[in-house]
Amino acid sequence: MYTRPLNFIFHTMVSQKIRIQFVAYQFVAAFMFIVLCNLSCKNLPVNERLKKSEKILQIAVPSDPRTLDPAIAYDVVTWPLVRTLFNGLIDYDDNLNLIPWNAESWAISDDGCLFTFKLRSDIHFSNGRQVTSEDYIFSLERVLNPKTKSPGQGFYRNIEGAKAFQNGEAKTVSGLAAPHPTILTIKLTEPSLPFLYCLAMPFAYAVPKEEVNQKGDRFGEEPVGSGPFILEKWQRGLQLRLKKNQIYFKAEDIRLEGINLKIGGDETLHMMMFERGELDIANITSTGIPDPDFIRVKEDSTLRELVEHQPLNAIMYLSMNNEIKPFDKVKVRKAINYAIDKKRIIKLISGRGIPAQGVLPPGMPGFNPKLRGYDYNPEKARSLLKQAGYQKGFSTELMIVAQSSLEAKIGQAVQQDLSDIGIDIELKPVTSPTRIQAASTRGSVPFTTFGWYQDYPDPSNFLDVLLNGKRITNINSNNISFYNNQVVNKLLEKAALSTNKNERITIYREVERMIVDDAPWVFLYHPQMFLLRQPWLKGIRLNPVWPIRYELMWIDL
Amino acid sequence: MVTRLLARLGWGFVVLWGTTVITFLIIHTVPADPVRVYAGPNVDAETIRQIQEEMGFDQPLVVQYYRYMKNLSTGNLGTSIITGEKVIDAIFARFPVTFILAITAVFFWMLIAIPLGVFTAKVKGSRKDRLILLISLITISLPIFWLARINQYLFSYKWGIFPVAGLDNWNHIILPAGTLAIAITGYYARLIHTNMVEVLNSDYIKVARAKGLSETIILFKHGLRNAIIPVITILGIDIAALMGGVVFTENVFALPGLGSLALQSVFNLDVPMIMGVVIFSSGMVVTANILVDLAYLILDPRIKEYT
Repeated sequence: MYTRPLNFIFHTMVSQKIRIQFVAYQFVAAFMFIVLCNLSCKNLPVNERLKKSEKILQIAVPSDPRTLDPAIAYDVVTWPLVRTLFNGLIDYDDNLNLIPWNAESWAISDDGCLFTFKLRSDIHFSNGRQVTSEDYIFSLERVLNPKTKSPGQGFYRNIEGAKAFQNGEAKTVSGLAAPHPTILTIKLTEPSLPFLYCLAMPFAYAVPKEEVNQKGDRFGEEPVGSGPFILEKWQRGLQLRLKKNQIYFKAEDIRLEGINLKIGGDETLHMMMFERGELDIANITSTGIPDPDFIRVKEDSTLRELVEHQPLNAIMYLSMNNEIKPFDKVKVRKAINYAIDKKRIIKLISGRGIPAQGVLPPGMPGFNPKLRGYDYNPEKARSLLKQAGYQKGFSTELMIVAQSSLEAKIGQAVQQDLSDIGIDIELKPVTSPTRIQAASTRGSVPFTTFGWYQDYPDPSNFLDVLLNGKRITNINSNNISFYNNQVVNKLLEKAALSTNKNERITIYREVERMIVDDAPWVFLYHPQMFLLRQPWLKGIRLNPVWPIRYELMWIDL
Repeated sequence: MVTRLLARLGWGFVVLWGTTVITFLIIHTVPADPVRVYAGPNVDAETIRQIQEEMGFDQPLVVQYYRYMKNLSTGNLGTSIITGEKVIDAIFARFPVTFILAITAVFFWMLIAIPLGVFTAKVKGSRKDRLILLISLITISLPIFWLARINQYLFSYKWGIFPVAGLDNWNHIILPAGTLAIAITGYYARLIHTNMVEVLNSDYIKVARAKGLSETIILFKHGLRNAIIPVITILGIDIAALMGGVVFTENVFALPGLGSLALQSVFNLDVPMIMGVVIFSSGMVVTANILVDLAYLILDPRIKEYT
């Protein structure tokens, strides 16, 4: 927005001699700055906490959370905040087992369609009113109401009567009932074990009807929930302050007095603030420690001890469009899998991933440790390419996200590896929204990088959502490789309807094996989160579903 | 004069209307769906369709533009599709920060540029003049995001003189404003220098000198007053441009101004917010142009004769 007409001055007002002097000066100045920076970069200490007495967690994010409305928020930075303000029926323990939260207990009918929850009677919204089963009905209907524009509505469309409600044919969702203020029943159109996981997602957290109706669109800025914290102040672009909710049903377990989220700046700035003692966690974004600082942190004996890490339930992959030539040939896809050296890629990204053998990450139920994917074998890759009729190779484009230094590294490594077997790759950097729009449109992108972070820890959230041929749509398809194997589709359907946990796991393992054999993707790696904390910050218990849980943390000075 | 003013106002509206058309088209030329950005990468096609319908993005572009302009004609800039904030509220919440930052920066750079420009005009061609010219060129050439980062690193992180970032109090404005001033002072110093040299060669200055007036009075009272007039045109437009948001400076120093709002809106493909910020910024530039015209009429009575 603000530029200077430099060239005009430079060329009209300055003599040749001065221009030469100017260039020389610039070199000297640049050199001096580099020396200065190098000198001052050494031995950076972790400073003392800036605000010693406060038991308020200090963290920072590059930009405002979009909203604090649990029906709308849907990203890794906002969800942990939403979780501090609202509660749901069920939650996860550290081993990803579902445990009661606002519900005391629950039961599932034999046919797997009816879920009955017994709610606690000591849960209150921060406005003082008791949370009842009617609040859960209101909250779920609100998510399903098209006017709410909830990105989470798809998770609850299998509730009986949800579609009629969405189409305006019914005023309420018939599958939701509250026979008593502490009893909630949910009836599904067909059995679904993962539905419990959907209820553990923030979309299903309880919101008070009277506050939502009174505040309307402002509810996301002035939220009222039943969580361990309440919103004290939100100055957009500047700070968001939460304070402890004294009437939270487990208030005695909450040791933080509040949370102060500083808004603005980038990862590098946050790292500086961390090292000056202004922040308790360096970065709470999915990236964790910023790339330029990662190696320095790992090599620094003090900082290294303060790094927490957790493999995420996620996968980074290269999607090959199975409907576009030459990726319609399984031998070509396999050849590409063999040609790419994943270990080198992980080295390039400073070890922030675990090589993927298949689709499911190690933290996911159903993960098969015996599954062997594709090891680096360029000879085999050449041979397969020859068998597929592409002995001379071919040319194609690989779409990557332009703003991501990580994807640039991956793109260049893939380009190099594939050139060794005669495949000429042109990198096509685009913005992230452009990439997702193009890749999810049928017949438009042959080859692209992509990542998937779980919504809930069930194999269906990877295998069914991303690779079920029946889910392919012409636009906005989640199956971006347009992989369609009828046998896999049938097995996925069978697993989805099964109410037997062990049977489901067996089916999903078989499905994964078949998918790996068909190689619709290049299975690259499962990302790991690295988090740098201050020595006085305790209670960080990372897990793949909730890497960050502020309510468990405390400051010990 | 009134006719001229009305004509300028009319053109101002044409410019603003053109801005809405161009911005609207550019945003929609981007091959990406704002609903995808809003809803996230994991949602299914049916959810996307539902939200598109609810937000009106399923309508043809002409209909979307018509709806936007209809609202705009009643002063309604719309609501952010990402945060749900009213665009006008978001702009007015951020504007004071950008205003203070810009005005402080202008104060800093004019405070240095005026004496520097006058001094170098007086010693034109000397070593001192050349040295100042070189320093000016170096500061002009420094990329502002880099300069901001270096200043932040040294003055805040290493030496702890200023806060690293944020806006707890107005102390936080000094370093960002100083950074902007460093980058721009050189340009204004040269601008004032060029105008002063021209003015100092005019007959009335020679007369003043012949009359034995002191050099200070000649330079600052007779010389600068005339030399500053063309500078005001550029300063007016520069201030207006700064009011539209100092993108890099605000982002490096995490200041909640219009620049950071604009950048975030672009990343989010937040159509109403992008439109609002662009219209507001264009409005500032158009208004500044009209005000500069008026200032000319006051500062230089000769201009009145030509209108």
